[in-house]
Amino acid sequence: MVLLVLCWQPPFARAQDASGGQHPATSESEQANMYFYFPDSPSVNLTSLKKEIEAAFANAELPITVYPFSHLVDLEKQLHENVPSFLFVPRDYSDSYQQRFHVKPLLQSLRDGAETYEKVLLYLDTLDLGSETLPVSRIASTKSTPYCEELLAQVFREALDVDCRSFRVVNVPKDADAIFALALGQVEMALVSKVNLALINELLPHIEKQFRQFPQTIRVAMPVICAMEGSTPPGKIAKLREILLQGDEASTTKPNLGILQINGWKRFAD
Amino acid sequence: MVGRGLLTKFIVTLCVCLWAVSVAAAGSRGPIAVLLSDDEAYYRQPANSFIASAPGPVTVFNLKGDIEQAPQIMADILRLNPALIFTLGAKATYSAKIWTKDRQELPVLFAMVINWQRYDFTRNRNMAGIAYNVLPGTQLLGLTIFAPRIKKIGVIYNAKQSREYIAKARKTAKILDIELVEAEIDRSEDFQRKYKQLAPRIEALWIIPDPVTYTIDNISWVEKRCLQDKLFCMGHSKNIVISNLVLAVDPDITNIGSQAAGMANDILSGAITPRQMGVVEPLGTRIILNMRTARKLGLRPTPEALNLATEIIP
Repeated sequence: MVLLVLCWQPPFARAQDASGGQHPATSESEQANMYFYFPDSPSVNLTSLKKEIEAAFANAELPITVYPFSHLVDLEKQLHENVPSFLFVPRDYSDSYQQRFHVKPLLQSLRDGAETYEKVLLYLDTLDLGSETLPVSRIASTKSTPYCEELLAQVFREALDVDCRSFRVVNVPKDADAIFALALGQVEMALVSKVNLALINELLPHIEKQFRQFPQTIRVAMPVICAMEGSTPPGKIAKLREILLQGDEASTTKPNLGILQINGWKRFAD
Repeated sequence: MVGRGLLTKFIVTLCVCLWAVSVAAAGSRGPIAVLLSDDEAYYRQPANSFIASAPGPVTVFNLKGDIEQAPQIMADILRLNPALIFTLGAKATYSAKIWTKDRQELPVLFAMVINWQRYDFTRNRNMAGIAYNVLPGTQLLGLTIFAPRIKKIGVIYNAKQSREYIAKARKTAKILDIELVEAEIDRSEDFQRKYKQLAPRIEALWIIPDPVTYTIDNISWVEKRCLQDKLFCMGHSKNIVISNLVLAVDPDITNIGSQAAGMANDILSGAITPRQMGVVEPLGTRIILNMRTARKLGLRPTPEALNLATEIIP
């Protein structure tokens, strides 16, 4: 009889060093790669996303192999094991990753000139918001970071003047899951991007009647592209900046990331 | 002066006592034990995401498919005085059920058990879990996304096994303005006959996780018939889409792990007991579309609908 006991710590609990303990990233001559994680993306089909984003960059003469992730745990596990050339993630994750994974934000994506996009807070039609104490509410969301919880707390204070401690954020992989869970009564609230809500309401017009929306909205930062400090070749960084910042959006050589509803970029200060 | 000295001693003693109590309280609860039934990725994925979000340190155990290992492994787990046991798969969950029968204060949270109801886990008040199958309504939402014109959906089921499932389905069907055309059977062998009666009256067939209807023979047979009859057939598992059925909505198993971590936190914080929690459905889903079959059926999903498919089989 073999007894198998593993004492197992989460991968990201391991000690970090600048680039040590990890495989070195690309050299100037090798093709760049990009880890992609954007749970609020209008498209959740990772195969299509990979194909379109790769085609967009190949067209701009910066071939990049894209590795999309639908779960944060998988992305972070990979970041521990293999350093990519670039990282495409929500802005608040890149902020927390600067220490943990030594990322350096390069470019802020824009949607119609804005660095932020709107998220709306939906609640079950049957939820009694007028009661003195808000019942413990589960809020389905693609994010469960402290950043997200602060934003929610702000909405509750402004909208309801209630103690915001009585809610719990329940993580889901994508906005569609949050909306389905709300429509079917698995959660009491859902925090979703306005764009994705509109897309799903068009496809499922009947479920709109199952929930209402707080008038307050939350603005969250659009995703960013980051380099990995000490690992991403400077030539590749320069090329990325060149192709994304120069020329207008109509240019045929500029990567078209319409699938993400991104149509502009802004450079971070060095 | 003497009074001040006594007061100081009292305060110091009080602080030491409070510290000792907190240490004892912290030390009285061990780590969370994660028990896998086997080594497959099917269990490892939710285990990894559970560990990444777990509300405390975790120690992992694995039956490696051998239920005879259970007494030794469960003894090792209980020696740790775990705060909670998270089990993945039927073997692990069954072992935990037996071994915590006389330790009902130890919560057990389970996941990845197909047809969990047949094991009667929730008879034990210390057990709660996540069902393997998504809510029936979620599957109907998936169908509406890709085939919004379909309004008559046939479903063949065994009342004893699936009464509750169908009751939930009816609620969502009403919201989506869909008519569920129901047909009950008592034996697996009656499935094909019922299908032939139903097929001319419906636009889609929904294959639900009913152990009487969902058999290898029935699925192999209906896969061919769906194409022959040009019927939109959907189910709850990617396996049936890989062959010929057009659509499935199944759970996102990685997210089951993080969902379980949240539930473990709720139990350990005292917000809810396992009995109150019961068994809930997974929140994360995967929508899988077979485009080859879709084209044969004349389906033309919009680009927006295709963007919501987690996976498209070309």
